[in-house]
Amino acid sequence: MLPDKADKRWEDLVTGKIKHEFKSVPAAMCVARHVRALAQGADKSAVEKSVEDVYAFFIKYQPILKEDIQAVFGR
Amino acid sequence: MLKTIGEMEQELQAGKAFFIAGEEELLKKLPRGNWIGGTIPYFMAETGGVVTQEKVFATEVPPGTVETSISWYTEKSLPRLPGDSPDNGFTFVIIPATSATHVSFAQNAPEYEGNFLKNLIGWISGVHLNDLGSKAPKVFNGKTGENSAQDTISMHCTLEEGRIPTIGIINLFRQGDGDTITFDETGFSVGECRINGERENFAKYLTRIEADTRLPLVANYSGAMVNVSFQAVKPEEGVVDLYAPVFSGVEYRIAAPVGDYVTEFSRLLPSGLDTAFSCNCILNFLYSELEGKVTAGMAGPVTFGEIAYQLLNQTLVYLEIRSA
Repeated sequence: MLPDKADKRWEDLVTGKIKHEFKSVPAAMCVARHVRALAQGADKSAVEKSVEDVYAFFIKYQPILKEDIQAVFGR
Repeated sequence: MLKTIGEMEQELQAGKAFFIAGEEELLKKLPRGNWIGGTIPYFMAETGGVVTQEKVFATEVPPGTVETSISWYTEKSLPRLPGDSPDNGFTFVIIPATSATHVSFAQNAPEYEGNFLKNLIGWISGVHLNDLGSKAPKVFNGKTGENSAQDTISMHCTLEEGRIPTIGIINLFRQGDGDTITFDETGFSVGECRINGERENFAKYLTRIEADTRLPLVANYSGAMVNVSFQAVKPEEGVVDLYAPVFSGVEYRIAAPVGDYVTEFSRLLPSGLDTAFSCNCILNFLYSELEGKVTAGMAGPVTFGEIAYQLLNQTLVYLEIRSA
């Protein structure tokens, strides 16, 4: 089960504070794209939009992301 | 698998849907039907790598596909691709090499709204290397018989409930332990770069270190190794041409050398894979001399670029359909 969208770890994931080598290719590309975009200058709303997008990705593909979810969120 | 035109006529008349790769003259001979295609005469067949202008490589749309629709995309409409892709399914994309849609997709796909939430897989069509410059890579809409050297063709495939498309890559290249290379601008053609933060002309740098340009640049995208392959190094012009764009803000390193491709490939091949489609890069085919060699479980076209959400180089891309 995924943590709530308000969980600080989502923000840490999209801003690159949590560093994880994903097993899933789309998860890796999706997160890396947001980390790269936010590294080039981001306000609060940009971070929130990235969290929205990445959270939606994880919700949709939860069944095939079990290893990565366990590694990032310990669940 | 590789099939003759006669065999394909029967398959298409039976109403089956296909992704097809082959020479332009062969694709033009195929009957109208539910297929899309792209030009290329190089294949990794089940019996090994092969160059043929006599047969096409046909991949049947995977079991569990309940609906298909074929669409063209221009440079302008290309960003709509993920939005048009089905929520439960995938979109198979073929883009003609060197076209405006090829350049646009390469540079912009990672930023498309909804990309990664949808599943884009496919390849860049090409030509026999003897025909470079004299023939244009093309893509075909089997429903209408139309072809294009500029626009992108796609088949949107909706899967039945309980099936999840999974796109994977097998990339033998890892970042080497050399310099960190970054670029201030995104592009296929590069002048200046930064080597460990210091500005330098990229062509002169590669010449200075006597780089083996069969080894691509590699970026680590949170665990996914993404290659950018070298097309030409021109120190006298101060320019390096690439087969995919480098992106600003991404750290690259030249890849570490790999041993025997087939041995390394077998080591990296995930066990129990049941692929619905795969394609591999023409540079792997050439540099690793794959003609006659078998990449077990992975048959498909050998391409001028691979698509897994975005353009990739020197990478094998595959599609697997899993049960939820």
